[in-house]
Amino acid sequence: MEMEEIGRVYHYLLKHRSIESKPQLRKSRPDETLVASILRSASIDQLERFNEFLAPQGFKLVEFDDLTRGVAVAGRVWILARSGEVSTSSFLSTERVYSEMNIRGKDSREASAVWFLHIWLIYLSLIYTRAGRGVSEVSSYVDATFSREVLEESVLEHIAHIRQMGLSDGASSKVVAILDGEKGKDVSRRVSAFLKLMTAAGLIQESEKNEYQQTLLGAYEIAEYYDKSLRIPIDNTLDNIVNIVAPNSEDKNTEELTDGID
Amino acid sequence: MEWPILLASTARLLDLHDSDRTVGGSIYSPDERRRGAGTGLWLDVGTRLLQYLYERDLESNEAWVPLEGIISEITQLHDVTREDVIFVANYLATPTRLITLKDGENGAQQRQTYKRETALVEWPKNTNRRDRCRLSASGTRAVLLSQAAQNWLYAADDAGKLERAINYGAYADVPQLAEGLISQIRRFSKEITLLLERQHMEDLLSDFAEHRDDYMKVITEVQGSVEAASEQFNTKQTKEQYSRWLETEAGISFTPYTITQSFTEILQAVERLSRKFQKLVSVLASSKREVIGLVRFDLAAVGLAFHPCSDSITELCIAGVGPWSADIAAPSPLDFSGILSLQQEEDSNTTLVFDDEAIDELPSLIERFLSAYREEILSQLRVGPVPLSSAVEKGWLTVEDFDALPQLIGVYASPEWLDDTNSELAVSVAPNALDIQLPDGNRLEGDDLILHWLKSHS
Repeated sequence: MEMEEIGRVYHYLLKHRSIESKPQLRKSRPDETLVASILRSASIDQLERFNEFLAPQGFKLVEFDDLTRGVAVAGRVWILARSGEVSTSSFLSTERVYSEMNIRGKDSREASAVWFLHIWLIYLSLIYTRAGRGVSEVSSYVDATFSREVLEESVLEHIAHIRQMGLSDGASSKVVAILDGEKGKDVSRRVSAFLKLMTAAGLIQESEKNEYQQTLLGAYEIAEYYDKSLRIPIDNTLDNIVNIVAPNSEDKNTEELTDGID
Repeated sequence: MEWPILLASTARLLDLHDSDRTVGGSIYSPDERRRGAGTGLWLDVGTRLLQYLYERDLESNEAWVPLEGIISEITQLHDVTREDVIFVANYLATPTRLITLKDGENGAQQRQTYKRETALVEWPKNTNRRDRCRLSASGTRAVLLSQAAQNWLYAADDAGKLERAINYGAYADVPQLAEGLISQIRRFSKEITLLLERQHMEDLLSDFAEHRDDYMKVITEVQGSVEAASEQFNTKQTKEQYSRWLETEAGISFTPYTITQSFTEILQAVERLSRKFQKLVSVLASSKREVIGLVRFDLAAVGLAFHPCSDSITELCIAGVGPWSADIAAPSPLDFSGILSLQQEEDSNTTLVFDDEAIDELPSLIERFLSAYREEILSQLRVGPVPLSSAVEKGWLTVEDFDALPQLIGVYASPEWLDDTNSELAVSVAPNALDIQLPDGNRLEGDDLILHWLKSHS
């Protein structure tokens, strides 16, 4: 790879996060065929050097071939994944989460964070928990589909559930006030903001109108860094809760998970 | 396809599973009444669907298989509708409960329930779309069972067939054999992926522990066979034979590269499989198989309403696995392409305007002004000088829909517009003679401009 080619690939990856030599769910983006062919003809040594260049910036390039589900026959997919050393990356910003979630323009930073976190967990419960999929199951990203409608319904269900359990069961008054204070189409707008953020970051993609799928990048990062991130609040929470159930925890989906010995 | 064999070997077992016999009853023959018309129609639709899903998956490796193809195939073959095919797919996707007994600890028998494994087809999750589906793991197993045992351990035999095909000059078989091998490689690779990613794979793990060296040997053997076949193919004698074969009818869909390409594809796939297998071996050897299983994200979401986490933890999570954006501008040259092309268009317009083309364009405002008032102004000029103030009073200020004051003043600035055949029009100034209220509320004050013919003209 010449310096010019490195610049082209690097720039493309920062912007789109992934390169598919033969995209399955969408059309090739402008320049995508070019950067794919640059990476494809790069030697192992050159790819190593490129990764050395990415490492101090908190990134790594990961390649997948057609032995991975969802990769076109004879195709390749490259993703720009975080390396897990967040502190090293000076220009990796999460500010956009707060500005996008702030749909009324006057929400507090805390309200934006609470909304994002709750929609995020409901999204994860759809594509992992409900599907009986372990966090390490990267290659099942092709199954991780959901429609906007289902996500929104699940979020509404979640809010109704929290409202019902309410303060009497000891829920945090702040969180209940934030989640329960929504009017009209606000939840729908929050979900739109969430989908927009996740799509822009390359963690999900819209396969058809209002139909979404987790990307290989999204599945890879969760599998690699769950331990260092979400596991912390989730383990802490799950350790602390007693007699709290999730909505629909008795439905047929969870029964599927209990196949085997009675 | 060996579906009858598969069905025949399990039919009575299923009868026993469903038997209503009570313990200690008398001996009686099985009830031979089976529901349905006994045409075999729906079974045929079902097995065709399974076979189709299996083949399409091998071909494309895509997540989901669109159903349109098989629907038109089946509706042409049988007198059934699209809904019938969807019904069959749905039927195969619906799990049924099976109960078996297993020897438990202390010799006690334990009941085992199977449900999920009985669904052979899967629909996309979290959506009601029914235009695509795919085989479940059991569905794939059903197709494999119907094809009799195929296992990576036997792949070397198939690679050997490739050598023999070249030796016998059976070139037509090569692409098909290659495809079969590649699909075996892919299947084996999927098993490795399962081991690397999924929890509770003890059976498969112990199988790998037991057969690790065998599997490795097969990989090497397949590689060796394909290389040998490739070498054999590249001898002068075989090449000549192949050229002759290409000229026959049998070689019509073949090119000189078809065979070579098949070899390259297998070798690349084996190479990648080998790397993946090495990775698995090293993970198993270092007992570093840290697989994270099912997490109750739904429960955690509820829990976080009770025990909210701090802002800094949320921030950490988003930075770790949530959406991020680059805090620097990273525009691509394409972002500017709209702007750049506009610039170009403007440039080319000014350089490429030809006089005779300009006629086609809409008349400019000044042209419209002149066509409305030129004659009137000229005839007035023949009577005497025309001050701007009187021109305004005469109402030469508006043309149809636009305010023409700029055009009127333009005529005083460039009188040759009125009559370009001679330049004997002149403008003089009457200081401070202008003081007119315009219809739109504005006022014109200052020096009045007077348009007149030069003396010599009259």
